Amino acid sequence: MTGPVISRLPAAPESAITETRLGWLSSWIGGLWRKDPEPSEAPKVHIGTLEPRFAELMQCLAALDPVTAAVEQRFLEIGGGLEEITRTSAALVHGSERLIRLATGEQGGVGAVQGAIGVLDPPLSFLREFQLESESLNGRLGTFQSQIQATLAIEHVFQRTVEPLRFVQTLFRVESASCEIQVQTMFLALVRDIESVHEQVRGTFSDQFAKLHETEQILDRLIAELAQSIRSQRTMTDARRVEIEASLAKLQDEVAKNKEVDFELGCVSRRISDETGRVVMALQFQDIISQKLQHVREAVTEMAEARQRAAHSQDQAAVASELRFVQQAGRIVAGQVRRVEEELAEAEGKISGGIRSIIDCMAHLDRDCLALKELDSVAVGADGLVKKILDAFGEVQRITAETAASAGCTHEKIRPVGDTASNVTGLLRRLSREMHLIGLNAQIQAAQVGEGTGLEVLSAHTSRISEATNELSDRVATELDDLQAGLGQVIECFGRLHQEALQQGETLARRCPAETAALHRHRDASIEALRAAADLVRKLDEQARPMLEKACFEDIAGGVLPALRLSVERLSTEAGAMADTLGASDEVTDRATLFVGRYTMSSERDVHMAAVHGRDGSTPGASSQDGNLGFGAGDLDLFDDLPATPVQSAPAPDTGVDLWLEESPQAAVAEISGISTKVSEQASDSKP
Amino acid sequence: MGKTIITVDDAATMRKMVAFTLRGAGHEVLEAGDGCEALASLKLRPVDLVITDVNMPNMDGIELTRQLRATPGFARTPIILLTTESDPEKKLKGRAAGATGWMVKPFSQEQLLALVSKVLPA
Repeated sequence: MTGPVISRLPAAPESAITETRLGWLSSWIGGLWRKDPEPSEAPKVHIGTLEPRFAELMQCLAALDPVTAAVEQRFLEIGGGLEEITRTSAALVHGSERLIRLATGEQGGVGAVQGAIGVLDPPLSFLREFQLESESLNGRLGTFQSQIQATLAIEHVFQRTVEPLRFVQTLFRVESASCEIQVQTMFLALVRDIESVHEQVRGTFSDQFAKLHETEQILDRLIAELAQSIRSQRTMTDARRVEIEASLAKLQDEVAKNKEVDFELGCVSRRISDETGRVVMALQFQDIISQKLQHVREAVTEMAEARQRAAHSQDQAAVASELRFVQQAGRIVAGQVRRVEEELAEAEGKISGGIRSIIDCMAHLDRDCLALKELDSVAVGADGLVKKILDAFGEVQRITAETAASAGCTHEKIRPVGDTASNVTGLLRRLSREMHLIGLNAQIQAAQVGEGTGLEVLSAHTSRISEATNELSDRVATELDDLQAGLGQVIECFGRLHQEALQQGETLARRCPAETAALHRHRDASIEALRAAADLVRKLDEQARPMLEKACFEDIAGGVLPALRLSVERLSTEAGAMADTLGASDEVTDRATLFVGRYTMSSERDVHMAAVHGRDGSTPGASSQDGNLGFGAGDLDLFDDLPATPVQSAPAPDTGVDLWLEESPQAAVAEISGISTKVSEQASDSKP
Repeated sequence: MGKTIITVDDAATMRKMVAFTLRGAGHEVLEAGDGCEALASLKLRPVDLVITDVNMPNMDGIELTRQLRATPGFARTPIILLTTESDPEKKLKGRAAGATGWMVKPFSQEQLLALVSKVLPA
């Protein structure tokens, strides 16, 4: 006689109190024996063979609790990190906007540069005009120099012209010696006058011409110095003017580019916002996964209870039913766990992908942001516009001061030239007058002594020399008068230029500090903004990298979920085989169906249906909660006037948001649904 | 101008994401772990909007809604049920309890903010 193999004796039922223990035991044993199947008809089912599987499953389930807690903690940490990253990236975008405004001059830069150029423009224009006028004046000085050289050449001519009077003088003494005292006296007076002229020519005339010669040399040096000074100043001022004009044009270009850079920055900002949104959605799956795993625990607990009932049941049909339930529940649980594994992996991918994208955006800002190049070329760089203008201030002030000094020096050096010329002119006019008187005197004496005498001949000769000397003197004196007049104008011009240069210098010195201070402030603000941006980039890197490490869940959930799934699959398979052996129906058990009641997500219902009906798990018309492995947008439903009783007709499509407002709910939800569609499209577009 | 909103959910991560989204839009956000905690908090501090999960220990979202509607001062406060559930019968219960709206998780930030702006006057 054989009997069923049972793992242990059951506890005596309560009804045994009214019976004797022995009576009960004999009934029980009899029942057992009565239930023994015929070896050829009743297959043996060893519930105990499932014990190891159940033990393994319980172990896996026990390992799940710390994993769930660890996953929750990890998601919380990532969420906290996301807040920090979002704050930092928002600050960096804001900082980049400020950099753009600084780089393109909008924030203070254009004003400061234009203000500075407004102060530099008048002295630069003055310097240009000064240089042109100085060139012209220098040309006139060259003409004066030529005139002086011509005058110097006349010195010898004059002396040669006057020299014969020496012989005339001697002859007058000789010829007049034999004349009457009266005549002699008159001619001796004439001789004294001639002597006086000779003395003047020997003394004063030579001195003055020597001075005139020195003056000509001074003028020669002055002309050369002035030409050199004008050349070098023109080179510097022209270069500065060209540089500033080019830089100003460049600044205008940068301001025009601002819109382009703003647009790019807007794109980066939107992309960061989108990526942050995706990470936010992915982080919400912690709650979803947690709920599903809780349902898995409940299901596994029910499977364990089914095993207990099967182990204690004497009814083969009941045992078969419990085993079938274990098989079906196992399939369902395996499906749910597989879904959780997929969702966790997807969440991991979305989170790490989102964080990497945010890091990439920041790297793009750091590396390629146009504002940094423009900022360098305008405000910060050693060759930047601000630096050039600051240098220009220094140089223009220096050139203006040098110009003023040069003009003053030229003015001082030219004045003696005029004085010397004036002295020579005076001397020549004096000599001319004296020679004229000598000539007249000689003619008068000649008339008195009569024609044909030696004295008359000498007188006539003296008269001719006198005329020639007068003519020469008058001509040179006139030329020197003209030169003096011209020189006077040049001296006056240089005097005026000197005063104007001094005035420009004073104005520049008065206005310079405010403008250079504004430029320095702009530059300092730019450097500070760059430093702040660099700090934020560094901070973001420090915040994001640990988050990337945390976004990998392998270390906390790596083997646990697959082990749980494999364990429950093995159990399900073996329980199913045992159920088949006992001839259990393969219809869905009521208890498996009851699982549906605990589900809080449509994705769980879908997995359940696939598991019990053998489908692949995808259900047409699934809510967007499952749209793409559950990463669709939060659904929005337009929910208008829902009746109090359950709807008998087909339900409205579930779009995830219902709004029971008193006014225009349709319009409100339509608008929000539009956002839903857009977010879903973006989610689809972002998939590789 | 920012409003005061309370988010009620037993999942800390979910509360954090709702708070993160709403604070980013300039709102002040309070948090509670279940319906009882929420009621205790709301006795001390009124809010402009309640966003609550449905399935929570101690007191679920639908019961919280019912109790708030029976509380003076909260009869007209918008209450949004933010939940993984999409079952029409559950929605009926939510509406019958007095909820203003129902949104399925996971939500997108734009949708949540749009929903908040619709139920809260500017």
